Amino acid sequence: MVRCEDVDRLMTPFVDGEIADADRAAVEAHLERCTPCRMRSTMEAAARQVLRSGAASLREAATVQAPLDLKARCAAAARTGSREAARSGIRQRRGMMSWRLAAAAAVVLAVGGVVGLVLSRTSTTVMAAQLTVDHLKCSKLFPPNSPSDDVRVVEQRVGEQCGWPVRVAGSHPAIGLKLLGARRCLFGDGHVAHVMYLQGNEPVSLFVIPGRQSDPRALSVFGHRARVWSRDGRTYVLVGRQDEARLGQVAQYAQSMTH
Amino acid sequence: MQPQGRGPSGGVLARQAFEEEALALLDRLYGTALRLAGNRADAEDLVQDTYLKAFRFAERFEPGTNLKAWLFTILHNTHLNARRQVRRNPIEVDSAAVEQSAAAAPGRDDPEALVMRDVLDVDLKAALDALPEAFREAVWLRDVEEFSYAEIASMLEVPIGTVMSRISRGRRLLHDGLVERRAAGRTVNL
Repeated sequence: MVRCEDVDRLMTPFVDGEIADADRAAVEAHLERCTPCRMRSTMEAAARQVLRSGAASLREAATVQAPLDLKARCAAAARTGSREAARSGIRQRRGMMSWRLAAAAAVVLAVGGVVGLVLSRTSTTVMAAQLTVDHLKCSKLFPPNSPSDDVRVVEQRVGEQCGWPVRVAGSHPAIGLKLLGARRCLFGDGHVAHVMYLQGNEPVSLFVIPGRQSDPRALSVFGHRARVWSRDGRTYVLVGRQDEARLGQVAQYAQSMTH
Repeated sequence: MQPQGRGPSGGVLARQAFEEEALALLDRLYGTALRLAGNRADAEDLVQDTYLKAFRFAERFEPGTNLKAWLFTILHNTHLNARRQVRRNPIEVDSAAVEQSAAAAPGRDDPEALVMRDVLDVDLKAALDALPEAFREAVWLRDVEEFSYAEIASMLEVPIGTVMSRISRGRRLLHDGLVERRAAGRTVNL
């Protein structure tokens, strides 16, 4: 005979339908003749059903947009992680960095990230993630310091700022693209040129990074799309929230104009 | 931590896919961290430490297994460790006495039948929030996130039997809470 205590241990798998057949028969037989246990199983099953049918909206409510700088720090952690994995002997002995130290280190990595990107072989994903954050920061916080839609003026100014020639694609009304201007990317410390556009009302950024080679890729990062390609010793990263087709138009146009 | 897996270190592309997939879950982890930590600063620390560990120990992840469960395990374990270290917020409900009372708690003789369509999302959320933490976490991980008993056991660092008894007790407490809310007239009957 199955006792109440035995049924109690099996109640959750029974209600979830994850109980062994032999046990199920025993539990069912017990519930037939034990009212308290039957009530408990009814209550548990009812609560389970309510939870399962509300799960989607509970999950949605529990998905909270993380702050952008946290996203940047986590993306930077990918770089820290790969590097540390490479020197695996050290990390075992040293253990985890302290909380605050790790946080501080990651902020430095995130902010100084683009410089490191140029010099190291960071994954394209992480680079795109960091540039997406830069795209958001720059388009919100820093309007181009020399707004102009005159291609030659923009090329000359950003070229002087960066210290190397930057080819800039101008406005292109056929695809709704308007050149806003360009700046030396704050986070790139002069290593990255940031050309800013509007396509319709949507900001688009084209980052030009000298001395890095990446295979062409289309990525989705933080609700944005990024297109990455390299040519003539430069890597281009196009970032925007446009759909694939519209961003593709910009990519195609920029590729034709900058080579 | 998980046993040694083959990990995504097989190639650059595998590593990139792993990073992408992991970062795509950031908002889910942040929402969970807010729930566990109770404030933004600690939640941010928790999420960041989770990613630092996940990327550092990426080779231990078994490709093809549940990445969300793996990240949730790191998040929960990190949370438990942080609490143990500072000893300022001991786990709300963790004593043997509570586990026993959970097992021995009687069912009502005549429980009011809970009619599903009468339960509003807002009441469900409030009733869940009112559960003691140990029970709420177990129920949440099982019924909302739909993890297996074994996955939950490794997240909460308790035996599978304890996971099941917490789920069972948590569901029945939730049932009582919902019935009480309805009795108090806080739910609009449809």
